[in-house]
Amino acid sequence: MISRRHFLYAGAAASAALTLPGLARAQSAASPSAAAVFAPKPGDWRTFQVVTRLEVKAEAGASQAWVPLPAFAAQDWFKPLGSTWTTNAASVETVKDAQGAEILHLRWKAGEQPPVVEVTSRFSTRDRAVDLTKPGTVAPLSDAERAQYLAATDLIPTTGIVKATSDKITAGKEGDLAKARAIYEWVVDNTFRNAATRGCGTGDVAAMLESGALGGKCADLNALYVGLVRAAGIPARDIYGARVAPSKFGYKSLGANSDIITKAQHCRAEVFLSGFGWVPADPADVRKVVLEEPPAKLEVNDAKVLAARAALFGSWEGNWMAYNTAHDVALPGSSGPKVGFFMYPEAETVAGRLDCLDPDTFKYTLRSAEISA
Amino acid sequence: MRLSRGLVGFSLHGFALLSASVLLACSLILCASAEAADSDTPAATAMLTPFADDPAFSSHGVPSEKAFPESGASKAMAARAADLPPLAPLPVLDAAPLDPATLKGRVVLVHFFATWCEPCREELPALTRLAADHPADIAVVAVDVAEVDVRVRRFFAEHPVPFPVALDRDRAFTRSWQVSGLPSTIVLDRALRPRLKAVGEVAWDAPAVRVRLGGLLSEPFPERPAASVAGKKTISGDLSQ
Repeated sequence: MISRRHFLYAGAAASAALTLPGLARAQSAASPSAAAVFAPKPGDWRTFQVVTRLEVKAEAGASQAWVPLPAFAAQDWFKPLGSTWTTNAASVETVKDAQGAEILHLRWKAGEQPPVVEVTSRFSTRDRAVDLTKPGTVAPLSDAERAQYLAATDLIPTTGIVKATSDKITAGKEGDLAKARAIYEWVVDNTFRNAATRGCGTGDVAAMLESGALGGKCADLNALYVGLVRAAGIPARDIYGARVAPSKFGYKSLGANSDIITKAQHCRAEVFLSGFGWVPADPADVRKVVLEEPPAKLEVNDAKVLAARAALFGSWEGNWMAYNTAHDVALPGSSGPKVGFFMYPEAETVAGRLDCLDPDTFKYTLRSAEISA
Repeated sequence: MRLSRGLVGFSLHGFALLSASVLLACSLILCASAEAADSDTPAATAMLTPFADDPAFSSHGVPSEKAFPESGASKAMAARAADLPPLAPLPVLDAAPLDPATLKGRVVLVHFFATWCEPCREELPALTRLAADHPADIAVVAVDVAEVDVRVRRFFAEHPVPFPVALDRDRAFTRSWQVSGLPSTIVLDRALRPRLKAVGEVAWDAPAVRVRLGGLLSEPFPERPAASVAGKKTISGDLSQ
């Protein structure tokens, strides 16, 4: 158990060498002839449609549901194109929470069986990449934005063990870029993807560090990244969403490989660096490649891992839908607890809140289609 | 194991209380020693440490336990206990809310966990053995942190436990107990004062752990009618208040 808490810097030098900007083609030390390419670059926009269908399991009494809508906007890589819906709900409203999450809130009267809604959302997106060797002129965050993206959340404290860990990782690093990169490398080196984790994980960063159990999925590992970066005084945020298409680089683990994306939720991270703006980072996906990329359980020096690791600090692929960056979201009309993040449909019946991580019982489906290239 | 189970049925009154407690403490240790020989207890687990060593406790400006080396039941801990909210208001999974009167007189493990937490799941079997072996003297109250009821219910349908599972749906209770890591356990003495804590997975079968719990059980505890406790409230920081 103690060993789980150790700082594992082994391999840090090698990984640092591989994160030179733009280097996303890697050769495996174990198999020099094998090469892999993972090199997202801004190019053509792609437009997708995602249909979310809920059929709430409500045996009696009134019920209500909340559906996340893709409302995140970033001029250079993500444009929401609106959502429409059909439903037998008695009332429907869209609510935007204080952090920008857009929520479709539906209420059904008792006896309406089954409560159903089908939401169609459209958006355009494309690959993104930031050249970290060429700082430019970027407008700074407003004071309010900076405060928001430095703040602790219910599950991401920025003091205590999170701050202490962040300080150890960034000791001796000069500048925000070096610190943000060091934390990225540390998360890749010291965490692992746990296939047994339900959904995308919980994102209880302090619990992870206190227990030393640094396994999980994207909501855990990328939240850990965001927490450690915020604790270093650098604005960062999670973006919650879902994979919508296969990876064009051939990475089966980094894409949705079916039009059914009910369990393809994925969150990514960004760090705000002066001279560069919001910079993409996804250490959780590096660990996903290690665990899942065929033939699976790859060595960290496998060419596919090295290429993904080099690319996923500074770039990511546009095969993904972004919902929002909100934490601790209060569901309108609910007397239940806030949700740590809002990436899954939620519903409540007279029996209480349903398990959003159990879509087959809940039940809900997400279906994706590319409608123009 | 048989010895410990035979002892827990003692009626504890007056002098017999202390004697039985000491015997029980010994039985816990013997039991642990016997189990340790053939157990696969993890080599490295979280340790039970004095509750008052909690930095948060010290930061409140209350003297640390080191100022009261003669007894864990110190003024400091009593003062700290007064900051902790009662257990009673928490809903319990598929059961009535906790009645603190049923806990007093026993050493109580308030165990914070979540079903998604892997070390928590690994810890549950040993915690279950401890609770099942000493039902009259040790009470376990599991507190599930921030999960929907249906998910917790499904988990315990597959992994039943012999203790109540309280539901801290919004983390407010966990936060008020200053618990930030899972699993975490706070051990209350028989007067329901916090005495020990552990952050991380504890090997509840381990001799050292059983010794610590046995030590709490061996402390004198005057049995009092529940009515007089409620009326006088003479124990500062009583969690049942």
